[in-house]
Amino acid sequence: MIEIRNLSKHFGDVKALKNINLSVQQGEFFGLLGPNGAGKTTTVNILSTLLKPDDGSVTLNGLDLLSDPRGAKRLLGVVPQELALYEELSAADNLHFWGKLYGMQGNSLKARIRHLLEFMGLNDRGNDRLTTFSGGMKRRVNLAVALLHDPVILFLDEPTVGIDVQSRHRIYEILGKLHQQDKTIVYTTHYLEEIERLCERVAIIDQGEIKAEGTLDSLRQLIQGDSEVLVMLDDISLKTAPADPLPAGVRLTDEGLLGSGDDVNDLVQKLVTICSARGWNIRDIELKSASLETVFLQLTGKELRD
Amino acid sequence: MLAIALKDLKIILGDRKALVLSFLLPIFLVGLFAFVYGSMGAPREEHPVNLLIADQDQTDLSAVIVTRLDSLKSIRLTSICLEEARQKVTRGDYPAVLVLHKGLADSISANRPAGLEMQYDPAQELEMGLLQQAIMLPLFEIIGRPALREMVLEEVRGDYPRLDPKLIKQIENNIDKSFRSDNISPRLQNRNAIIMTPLIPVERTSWALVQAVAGTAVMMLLFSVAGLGAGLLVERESGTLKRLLITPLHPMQILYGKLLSTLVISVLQLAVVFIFAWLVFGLDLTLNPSALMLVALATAFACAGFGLFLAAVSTSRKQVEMLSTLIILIMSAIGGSMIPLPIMPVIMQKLAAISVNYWSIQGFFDIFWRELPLWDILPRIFILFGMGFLLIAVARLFFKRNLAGLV
Ligand SMILES: Nc1ncnc2c1ncn2[C@@H]1O[C@H](COP(=O)(O)OP(=O)(O)OP(=O)(O)O)[C@@H](O)[C@H]1O
Ligand SMILES: [Mg+2]
Repeated sequence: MIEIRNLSKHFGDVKALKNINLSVQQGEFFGLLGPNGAGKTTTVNILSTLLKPDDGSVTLNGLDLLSDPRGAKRLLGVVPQELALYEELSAADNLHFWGKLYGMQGNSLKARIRHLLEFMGLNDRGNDRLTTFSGGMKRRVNLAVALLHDPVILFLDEPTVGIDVQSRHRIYEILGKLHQQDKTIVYTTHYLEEIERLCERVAIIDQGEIKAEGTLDSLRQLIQGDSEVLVMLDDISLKTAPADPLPAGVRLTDEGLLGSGDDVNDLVQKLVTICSARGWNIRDIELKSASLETVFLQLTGKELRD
Repeated sequence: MLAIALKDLKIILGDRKALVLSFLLPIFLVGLFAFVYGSMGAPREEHPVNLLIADQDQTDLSAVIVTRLDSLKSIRLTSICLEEARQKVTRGDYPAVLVLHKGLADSISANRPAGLEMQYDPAQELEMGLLQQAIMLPLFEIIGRPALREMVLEEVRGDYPRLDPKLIKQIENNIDKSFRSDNISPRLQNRNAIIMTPLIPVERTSWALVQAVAGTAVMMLLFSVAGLGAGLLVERESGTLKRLLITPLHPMQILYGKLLSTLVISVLQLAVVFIFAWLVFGLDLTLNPSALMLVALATAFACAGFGLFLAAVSTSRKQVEMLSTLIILIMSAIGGSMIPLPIMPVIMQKLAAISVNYWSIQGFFDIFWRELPLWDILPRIFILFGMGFLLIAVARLFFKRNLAGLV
């Protein structure tokens, strides 16, 4: 479906992509995981014909992207990292505008807009200006625009940055449905939970290089011996939890406190101490096998988040 | 392309505050300038004034006048036939033509009113003042002397019909010797007064009003298209330009869509200003509607091209602001938006031709003041469209070059 061969791109002195090779199958939910500046957006920009690579080739559905960018544009829908919408217009007007640019019109466009607003759970807000929308709602409109012309391939560049947990989950649901519709999806993120939740296969990218590629299980098998403990917290504690620094190897997730280390006993003790010191209520404790985070740490030598 | 324009218009027309402001501001300024210019008699600096001369007499005396005036530092004299001269003055290219009528020499030796006529453009009031001041003395030196001589001799002959020709010769010489140009009797002055003929009826539309309306309208339009030109950068900053580039749209269609929306707003803005001038100051819009529409459209087009140019060469909104302010103020200053052209130094008047303001303002003067037919205004209209096309071509070039950097 998507074949990327020896893709390279530089900006001045910065080598944003170094000889990237990837292939994504029809209907696959593919994750591209990497920290800031890894080259995710550059990859998506090339795949969506916005940037010309220095070297390499890309084929979409057998169609050569570089020689037939216009043909490729019809196949793909892109959800840019930044919101690319007219905030002064309503959701429906935005969809209408973008639909027109894809040559859609009349009743079929109207029907499509109605369908997408419904699909996004926004049908009662369709005629409101985007300035009155929450970040999560805007993200859903941003996603809807990419779906207007019903593309077979979807590129999503960090479509959930900067929105709350609940909105994020709504988007996950929508993406799940799209996956069921057999769309081929390339999803970039630096959230591990998203990869673990959504993707079937993943490539880890750092400094313009693919460090590893495969199914989640195959990546987890790259490392042994590490264990993870998740201390789930109740909602009130989660909400009040400040973002002040936690000890190394411990981080806050949507569900609670996640720690990784060699010794499970030590780990549990450490996490419980943190919680009681801060007055957080523990709901549950879960032992996990080695996570992608650990894989990532070992492959790139750095944490995913700054 | 149309969709882009419609979308832009929707956004622009949706912003009530900015809309009201962008229409109120020019109205306020038009009113202000009309008031200021209406009561103005500003001093001006020294520079040669252009004067046409049509010598229909073709005698030694008329040749002397031409040579004498030509030697004046304060005047730049151009000899030309009367027909052509009248055209140039009517078109506003020159303030006046001095006509030396046939029989000038005869009328002086016959002691009849001299055949001197100044046909002038009342719009160039200040030029005229200077001209009259500059040519008065030299002219009387040449004409006043023989005229005075004839006047005296006529009386002498009447009183003493049989006087010795030798004596008459002596009287003549005495007159010449004692004649001083700065001591001319009112009687003599009246007899030899230059006939002043305005080539444009004075009861026409107030010159100050045309200046105020046209000058301000063009300048305000330039400022407003600069804002709209920044729209392309807004699209870029908001990420929508990136998305536009992903659609099957040709990149140039994005540019042309922007041009179209800017053009529509520009035309609307001009319409508002002129309707206001009509309602409040009684500017007669029915004088030459087709020419008015064409000049307005050409002006809007040139301005829209300018907006596009600004957007394409700048890479940030701040840049647009700086660049536009700079260029617009310069163009407005030299093009006659801020200071009426006739009272500006000659070099500035020449430079004016590089500004959009100049061609547009002159076009409006052609319509409301000189009342020229459409045919005579067409060159200005073509130049305005030409400027627009040139600016768009440059904008295209820059846009194409910057395309990769836009994502
Ligand atoms: N237009 C550009 N000009 C210069 N350098 C660029 C440009 N775009 C990207 N880069 C550089 O290329 C590298 C990869 O950037 P890219 O945007 O692809 O990262 P990313 O993985 O999307 O990061 P993030 O998670 O922050 O979005 C970075 O070092 C970045 O500074
Ligand atoms: Mg990115």
